Amino acid sequence: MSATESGNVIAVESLTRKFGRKAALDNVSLAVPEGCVYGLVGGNGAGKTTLVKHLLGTFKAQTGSVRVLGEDPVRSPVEVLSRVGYLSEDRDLPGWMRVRDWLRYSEAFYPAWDAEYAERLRERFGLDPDTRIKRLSRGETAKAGLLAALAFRPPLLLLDEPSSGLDPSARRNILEAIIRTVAGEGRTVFFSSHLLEEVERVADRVAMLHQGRLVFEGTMEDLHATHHRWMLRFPQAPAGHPNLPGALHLEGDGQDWTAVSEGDAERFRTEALAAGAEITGHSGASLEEVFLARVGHAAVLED
Amino acid sequence: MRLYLAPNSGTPIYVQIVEQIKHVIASGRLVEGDELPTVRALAQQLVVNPNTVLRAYQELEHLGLVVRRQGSGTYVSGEGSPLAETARLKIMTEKVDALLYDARHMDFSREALSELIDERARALNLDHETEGKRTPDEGDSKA
Amino acid sequence: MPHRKWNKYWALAWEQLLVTGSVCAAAFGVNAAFAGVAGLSYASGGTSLGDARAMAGSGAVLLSMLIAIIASVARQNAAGELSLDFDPRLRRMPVYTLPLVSLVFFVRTGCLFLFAAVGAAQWYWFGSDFDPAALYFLLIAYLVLQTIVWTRSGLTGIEYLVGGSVLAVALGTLYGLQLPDATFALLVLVYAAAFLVSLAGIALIRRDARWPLPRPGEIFDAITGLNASPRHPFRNGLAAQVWYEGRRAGWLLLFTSATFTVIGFVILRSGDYLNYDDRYPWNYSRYLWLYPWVPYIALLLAAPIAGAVALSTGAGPTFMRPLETRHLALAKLVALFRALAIALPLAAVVSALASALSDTALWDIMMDAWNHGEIDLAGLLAWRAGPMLLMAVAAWALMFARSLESLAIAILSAACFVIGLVLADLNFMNDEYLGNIAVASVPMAVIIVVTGARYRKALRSGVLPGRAFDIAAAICALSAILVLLYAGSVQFDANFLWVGLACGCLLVLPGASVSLHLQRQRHR
Repeated sequence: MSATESGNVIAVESLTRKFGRKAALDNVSLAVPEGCVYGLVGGNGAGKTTLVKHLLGTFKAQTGSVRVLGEDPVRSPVEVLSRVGYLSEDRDLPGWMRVRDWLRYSEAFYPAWDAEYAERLRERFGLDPDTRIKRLSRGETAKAGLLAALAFRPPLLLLDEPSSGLDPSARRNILEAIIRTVAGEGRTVFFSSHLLEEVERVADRVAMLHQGRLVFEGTMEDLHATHHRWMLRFPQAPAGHPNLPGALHLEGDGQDWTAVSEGDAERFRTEALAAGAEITGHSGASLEEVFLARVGHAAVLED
Repeated sequence: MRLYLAPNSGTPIYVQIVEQIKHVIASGRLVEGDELPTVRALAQQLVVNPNTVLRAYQELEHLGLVVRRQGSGTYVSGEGSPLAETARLKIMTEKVDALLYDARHMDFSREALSELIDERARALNLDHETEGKRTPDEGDSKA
Repeated sequence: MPHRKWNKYWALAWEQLLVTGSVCAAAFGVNAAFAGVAGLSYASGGTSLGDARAMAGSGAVLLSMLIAIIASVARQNAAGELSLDFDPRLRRMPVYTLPLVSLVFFVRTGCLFLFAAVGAAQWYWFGSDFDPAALYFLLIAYLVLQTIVWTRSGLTGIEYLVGGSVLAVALGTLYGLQLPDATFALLVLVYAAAFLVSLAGIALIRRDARWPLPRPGEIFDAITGLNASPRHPFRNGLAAQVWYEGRRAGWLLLFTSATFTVIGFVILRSGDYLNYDDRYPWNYSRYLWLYPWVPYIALLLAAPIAGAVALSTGAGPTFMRPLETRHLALAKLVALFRALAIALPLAAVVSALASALSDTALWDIMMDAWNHGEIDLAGLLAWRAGPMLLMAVAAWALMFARSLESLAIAILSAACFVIGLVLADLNFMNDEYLGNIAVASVPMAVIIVVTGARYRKALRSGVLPGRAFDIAAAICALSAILVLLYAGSVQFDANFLWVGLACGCLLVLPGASVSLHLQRQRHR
């Protein structure tokens, strides 16, 4: 199914959101193509949840525009929400409902609900239908929420911090659900997380938010192609930070330094050699390293 | 076939998959005509994005290690063995390099190192087994 | 010399004695301090407080008993936390249930009863007018509380049934036999019942079993259908949401108003008790008229709570449902209206019973009129129906105090209620039924204007379709005509049209204001 003319399931354009004078989102633009797993990473208070709330229509765009599945989630909440499987960060499910009630209740809202599939998922997740949700463990509550988000096979799965505070088993269930969703029917997944290892595992594309601003947006491949980690050794310890303009982030003291570079690896190599450094190691940078380098970099710019 | 991923290592996951499958083929645990798991199955087993697995399989196909047949699956190709030789060489070279670096850091002379290697090989009684290991390889080159 | 190994029952008794003994000792410390200060001030004669002696006696005793009871019921468990349970550590002890429960139960109650006896002596010492009933009531309360706390997870509510019926039978027997000291006999009965229920409950808990009968709450749910699980798939999202709101807020309205009613009666009743010998300035008979109003006031207090819960969705799961905002609002309105429609007749019945049982002056007048053939059943109903409907409107308006963004409307409707209902009821047979209509017309005018403005805004912002306005207008017109018909049968007055219109506006106002409120909450 083609969601929009542009083929983007989510299209956010120059979105800015202020709470008082503080900008929670500052001129954010991103596009999520159909059939991809999109990871949104950022620290606490980076604006991830604010962005997700815009996608759900819970926040109205102050400036800029938000389109989800080709619709404005504020003007057409029913059209958007009935095609989005959403798992909230707080898993605020009604605790007084039994699991069975919860499924029956959720079913009423989605014409595409597949009761058989829901039952299969319930069995796989090991949820007892007669248990009240407030009696479920944290992981089970997350699974109950995930179940309701998956059972109508939504074209877009929107997960806000799906695995925060969960045990490895529940986390794996969530990741598997993400993979099944895209592997099976080519549907789209958008998830926010601060567990970078997970994002690295499953995401095609990644956006990094820091203090409301997008500091990186692109495919995982781009990220790995353009970011490198270097171990540098200087013959004598440079005074202060070594002067390497190509480095996103430099760490170390004395003679040994670690750098994360952006852009062409050969250019940085030349730069480093010109600065008098000996390159003792070179490898790709992991998402976590890139994230820390980026966020650290942005923080420095802030000052 | 079991693969182990280290998502935080900085090496892209598809590269890790390619390397490990190369390793499996080079070590002879998969031989010509063996079928690799489907993209979906491997993605679910490793809990990684299916696109990543697809990308790795494309890379392997490009290297000529596997052939992908429309609608039936991915198989280890016959051209695997000559490449397996170089791959094996590459893997061992890396390990020897690491060993040499460590030896230098610990002030081990080259001679002491070779002596140690001989001694360990005798102690572990590996020489006989190494001979045995070559056999499937020779079988490969005949095929 | 090897020390002798303790018998496990001795060990248990010793531990329990230590726990409750220290609670009682602490409470006795409070008692002694309090009584000492009051006794000294009485002895020195330098105080104008005539009650100092009573404070040293009854006051200190009651206070310290209360402290001991609360501390014993919500005592520290093994982990040093506040625990409202039969200590899980005791439950796991390798001891048979009968000696376990007997030991813990009798050591605890024994300590408290001893403490009560000391208190009684102190009370008697300071003042001669000692009435042990007060202490008996406290001990009964303690026994009931402890039983509930100990058995709630094993008997799943059956203790309410068993305990309630035991109490009812006991009370009936006592009243029937006219025993000389009913309270003491009641204490003995409750003591026995508490022990048996605790024993049964803990035995079930230890076996990880549950009483097979359904909980009273579940029976209630089955009758009202408010809290039941859905038996069939919902027709659509709106039906599911109505069920959701009914279970969340509708059920709460019934529960809260019932609780408030009970609390109100208890307060009034203990007021009666304290005022038994007219020691306090207020007159015993003067507040008796309040009895029939307790259920209504409870409903009025419960309404804003249930309404606030219904409207406090935050960014919670409700807004994530693919449902139009006006349907979300409709679901809340339907659920609350249904709950009100169940709660109001219940309150009316309880009110009628209360006014009969409390022998109010109103009841006497009414009975007199009835006996003289001045009013018939229809007249009687009409006499009660007016206040009841006004009460319904007031409760309805109070539910949405939150969405109206100002308590003003709620206060206005409460004002209407007081002017039109309480004053009129106090001045029974007053021709000016609605009190001073000139005063009442100001809030009524405000209500009508506000309603018009909210509907205008709702229609303009597209939250409500035009049809909603037509329905609202029809309801307003209908209620105006109904009030006119009802009041006009007594005496024609154009003011009643005005009142009817205001009532209609209060009825339909939430339709617009809740929709607008939710719209704003949903898309911040």
